[in-house]
Amino acid sequence: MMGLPTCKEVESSMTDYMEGALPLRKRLGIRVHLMMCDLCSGLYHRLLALPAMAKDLLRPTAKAAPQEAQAALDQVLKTIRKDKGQGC
Amino acid sequence: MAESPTIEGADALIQRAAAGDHDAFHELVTPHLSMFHFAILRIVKDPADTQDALQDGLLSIYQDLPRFEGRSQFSSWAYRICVNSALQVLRNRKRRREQFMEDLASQGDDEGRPMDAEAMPEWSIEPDAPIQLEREEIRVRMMKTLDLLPDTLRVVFVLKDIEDMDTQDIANLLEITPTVVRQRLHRARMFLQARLKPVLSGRL
Repeated sequence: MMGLPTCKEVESSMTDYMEGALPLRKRLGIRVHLMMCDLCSGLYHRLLALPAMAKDLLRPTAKAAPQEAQAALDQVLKTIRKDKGQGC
Repeated sequence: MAESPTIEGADALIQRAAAGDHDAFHELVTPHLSMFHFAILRIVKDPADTQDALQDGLLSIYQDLPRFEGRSQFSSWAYRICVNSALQVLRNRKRRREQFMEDLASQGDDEGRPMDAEAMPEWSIEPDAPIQLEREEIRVRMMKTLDLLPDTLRVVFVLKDIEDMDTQDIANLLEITPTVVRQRLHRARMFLQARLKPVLSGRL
């Protein structure tokens, strides 16, 4: 694999690669390496799956705000009204 | 369920809220309240801190509304203010922790949270652990693993990979360079993927 990046180089550049932040030559080197290396290819696919899994599991499904959020808004409105009352 | 107002409706609401109309402010922020709340919660983790940060954020939104120029959507603009409030909580926490560590230093005790992902203890998962965990189990495992990350890395991961924010926007918000954003993101992702390997492999 002369001229191709090593596994360690691929691993350390993976996020830059996924973000499109690498120069073309480096990007192509990584792409070829990924086609030839199962270990790095596995890592690449896990890193690709990670954001989707995080969004799927951790983003709220309910559109309605939880009670504590409503309470925070109520408190802010109370403060604003109070301040305005004092300002008049 | 509250719906987002139309563009014309939103503009009118913004103008009324900026002029001090409380009902308009209530109507303006309510459709986005859930998004603000959970964005803050994912950053600060603690429900009580979340409520405080949300209050600060909402108050800032109200106070800054007359200066809102409409160059971005109201929700994006307000969202950034709430994220800033969450970051302020982390800064305050860090200051308190530093003070605490200083106090402990004389006693030679060091139980502070490690700041480097590499320095953190491995969260052991058997290599052949069952892949088919229940969704809730996986969610709890993901949250616990995310909580192991230092704040600096977790915030970048949350903003980029969960909230889908642009790298440059995150850099501006955190006052760091895009290169540092990517470095932190990489460390966070590597940390998480290593500890969630069986789960992630099961999803491929």
